[in-house]
Amino acid sequence: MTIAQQGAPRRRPGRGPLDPNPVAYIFYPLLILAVLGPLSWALFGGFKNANELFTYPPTIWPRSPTLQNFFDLFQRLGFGNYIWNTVIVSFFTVLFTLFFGGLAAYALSRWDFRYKNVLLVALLGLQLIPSTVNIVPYYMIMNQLGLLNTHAALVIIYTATHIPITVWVLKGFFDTVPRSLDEAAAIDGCSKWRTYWSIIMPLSLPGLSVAGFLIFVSAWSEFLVPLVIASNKDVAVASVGLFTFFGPDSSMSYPALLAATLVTVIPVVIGYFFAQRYIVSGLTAFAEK
Amino acid sequence: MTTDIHATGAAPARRVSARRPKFRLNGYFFFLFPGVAIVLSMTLFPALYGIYMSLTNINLGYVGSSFVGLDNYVRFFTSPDLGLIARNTALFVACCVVLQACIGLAVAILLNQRLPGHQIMRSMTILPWVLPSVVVGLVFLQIFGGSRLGFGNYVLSLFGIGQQSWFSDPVLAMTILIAVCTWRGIPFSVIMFLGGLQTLPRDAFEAATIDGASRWQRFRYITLPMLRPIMLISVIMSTGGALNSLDIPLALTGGGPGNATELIAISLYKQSFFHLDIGYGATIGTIMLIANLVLIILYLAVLQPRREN
Amino acid sequence: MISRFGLMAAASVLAIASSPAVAVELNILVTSGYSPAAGFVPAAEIHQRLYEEFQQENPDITLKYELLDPGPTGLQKLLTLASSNNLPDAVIVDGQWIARLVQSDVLQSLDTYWPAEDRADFHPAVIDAETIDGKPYAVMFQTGMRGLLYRPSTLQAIGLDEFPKTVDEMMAAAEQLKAQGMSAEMVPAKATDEPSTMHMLAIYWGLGGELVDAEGAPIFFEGENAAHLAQVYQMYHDLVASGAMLADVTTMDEGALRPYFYGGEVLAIGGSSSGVKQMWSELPDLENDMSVAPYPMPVAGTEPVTILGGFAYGLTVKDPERAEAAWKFIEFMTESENLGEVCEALGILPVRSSIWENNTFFSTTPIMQSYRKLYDGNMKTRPAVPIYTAISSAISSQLAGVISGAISPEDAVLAARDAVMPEYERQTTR
Repeated sequence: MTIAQQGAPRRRPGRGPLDPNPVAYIFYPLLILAVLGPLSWALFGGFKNANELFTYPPTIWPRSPTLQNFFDLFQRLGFGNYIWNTVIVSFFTVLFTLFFGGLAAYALSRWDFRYKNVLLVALLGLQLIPSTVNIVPYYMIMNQLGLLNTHAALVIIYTATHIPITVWVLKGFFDTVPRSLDEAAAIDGCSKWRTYWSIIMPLSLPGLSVAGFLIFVSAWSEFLVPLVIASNKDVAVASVGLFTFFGPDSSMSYPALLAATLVTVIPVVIGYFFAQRYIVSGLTAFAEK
Repeated sequence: MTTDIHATGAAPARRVSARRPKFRLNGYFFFLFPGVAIVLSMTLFPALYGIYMSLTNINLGYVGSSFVGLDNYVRFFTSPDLGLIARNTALFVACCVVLQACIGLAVAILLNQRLPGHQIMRSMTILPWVLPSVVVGLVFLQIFGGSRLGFGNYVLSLFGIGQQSWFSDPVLAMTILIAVCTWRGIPFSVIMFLGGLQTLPRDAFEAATIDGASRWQRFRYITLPMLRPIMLISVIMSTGGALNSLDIPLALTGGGPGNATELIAISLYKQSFFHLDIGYGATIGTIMLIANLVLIILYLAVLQPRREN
Repeated sequence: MISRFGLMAAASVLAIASSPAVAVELNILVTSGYSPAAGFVPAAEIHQRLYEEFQQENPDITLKYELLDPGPTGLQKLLTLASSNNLPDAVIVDGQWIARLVQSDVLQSLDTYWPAEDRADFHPAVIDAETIDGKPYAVMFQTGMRGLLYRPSTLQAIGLDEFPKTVDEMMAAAEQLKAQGMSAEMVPAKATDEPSTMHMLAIYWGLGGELVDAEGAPIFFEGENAAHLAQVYQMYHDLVASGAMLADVTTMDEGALRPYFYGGEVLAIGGSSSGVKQMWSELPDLENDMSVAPYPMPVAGTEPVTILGGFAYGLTVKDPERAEAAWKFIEFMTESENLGEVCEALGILPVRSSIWENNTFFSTTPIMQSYRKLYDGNMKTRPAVPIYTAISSAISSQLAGVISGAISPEDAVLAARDAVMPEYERQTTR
């Protein structure tokens, strides 16, 4: 499980494809169209004004591009509030997940105990219980704890559901840090706690930041849980804002909605292009297991 | 909740205190416990709590609830909509899984041709998978808007085809639903298959080429068999993905027109949060949990021997 | 020196005078939309200002507010608070909950506090909706009204002065509109979507149909009622079959209809008054070219019944002294001028005649004058019984089948009955 410590998967000697087939190029435009075609509609729509959006025949490329929708979005419609809520929730999710996940990963990397592998596999299994199944209990639990419509509820649930995969990823990183470092630290009188914080953590910073990125993007995109747990306007995150305010009592207009879609997607896409080689190689390594 | 955790999760912890003379806070238990406790409290505990609620008539419109045994399950299995929901769910899951596996494999092979530019293509192909699901739903809702202003209808009009009411036709609505979920799911299969393709030993291909095997033969007799475990995992994962997918169907059709595209997940959501029948919603959740457990066990079973290699 | 002394004396007299009536700390539970914590800035501002004014006018009362979820969780919370004796002093509740809350002894009668002349200023249907056993239990302060939104200019373009009053007239207009590539009318018909039911109900009630009997048992499938419901279903089917309405409505909520309206593809769409300000912001031209009309009816001579529904202030405290203070607050918030400002800021419709008369926005804006006509007509609240949600969902779920012709209107009524009755059984045996 040595995910990504060298970035994109290197071509291993004796593996991989033989001779690239240039016929593949024929399919490239098709692929581009299939992926970007649908997205371009929302992408360009955000820059059109209302009159253009509602005249026939529809345009794809905006005739007179305007940023008005984006100003409206933040100044008049208060979309900034949803984005801020999303940032807060995602940030604390990353923080707590890395903290608790890191500690657990360290334990699993440094100590050998019975049922360690069982625990690792069990974590994987628990991770696979989907939020769709748990959504009703989540609602009732948060209701009883008085945490409905709070950010705390979201952070707790996200943290719990992201820890297992984080443990797996971070354990992989910690395994690559030689145990001799721990032993040297122990001789110097460092406690395990100190060793973890002052030696292992700094050395695993690249790994932590990759994991952090993935958690952030994932938390940013969550939809079902916040829709049920925190749908109140004041605490709603961007995805819920987008969905709910399609409704009749919404305060969001169509052009602004397309702009909002864009604003919601941008951090994810930027994050993705930063971290994509890790996402791909991380998952590849995962698949190889 | 605490008893729960001790009973099920932290088995190693108990052994520590039992066997070792002194409990060491600085031991692995200290590092491991908080994380595992949080995970258990928000994954296993809710699942068990859901099972408990499924045995009661708890309803948000009322205060208090009582134990009703298996009434909710009887109601589910005798419900007149059961046939429709089961059919829809089976169709939806089967189509999504098959399409994802086939197209995913094709795209993975395409991207595995290491031509100049393949890395950019790979980044782009995976993009749909990282987009927030609700965005995917809303974007396609716009595209297939029934109005002539909808992008879909506009494209059709360029080919001289008349305006379509995309989502009000049950067959078309289901087709779009499957297509969109597949669109979003393909990148996952691609990532898995790409990973798998890269592990294939090259000498096998070289030997086959020397023996005069064609590209197709190499694919049929080397690539496919060697990819089987990956394919199995990918299929299990995408089955789970399709079965549990609620966000995109909710944003796209919400089960409509009427209940023509109602899936089990949508039904769970509606029963719980429209009809406020939490007990019944939890029942559907429990039934889905069982289906998921089967998938999880399958997944771990496929994974296990490979891990030991 | 003397003046300062006098001031001190006056202050101490005041202090003594007010000390017996120890400052009351008034706890209120309000929905965030109608509170200083509203996400919508103008709403937050107006409530903040009114709360401050109230405090100034009543220095002996300290106002403390907490937020109540406007959805079912809010109702649950109130019922739970009641069972644990933790109720606040006053609340804002959904008008639909009133009967439930009176039954559970959450709301207290306003009979002794609320002067008759003030009640007379409210729409009779409002008073009716909040009166149980002859006593009023809440003050509903706003409503949404649903009707058909249209552009008067489009109507003129096809040579009509008046919006069609019957379905037949509508179909005739539809023929003319077809020539221009337009359809006549679109109302949401999405399954399990409350507004879909609300548009249907206005017509169903207009025909004389009833959903439940006096005991709250569903009767929409019996005799006359069944015939009326079938008639409404038939109307939807005919509108679509003749091309006056697009089949797409079976998957649409009110928001989804708007692009058709904006793009000039349809004469009129079903919508709520609460969306009007938003539509103006989306397409500013509409501010001068939008009006609302009652639904054309399948039977000539009948009129639709506008659905009344909105939030209400209620009194939850039993202690007379605190109740006095709580009523002061409710009175202040629902007083004509203050309430008028709230309604205007939020773009919600008032239910006090004096606001319609005196508030410039409501008395002069053209579209508000057309809403005034609905206000002067028949209005009615949805039955406040637990089974209502199931009925609503069941009857709207049949629309798709009826419209596509997969099921006959009569069978649709029976199918809706079959969906509701097991649920009713469960509720009554609970």
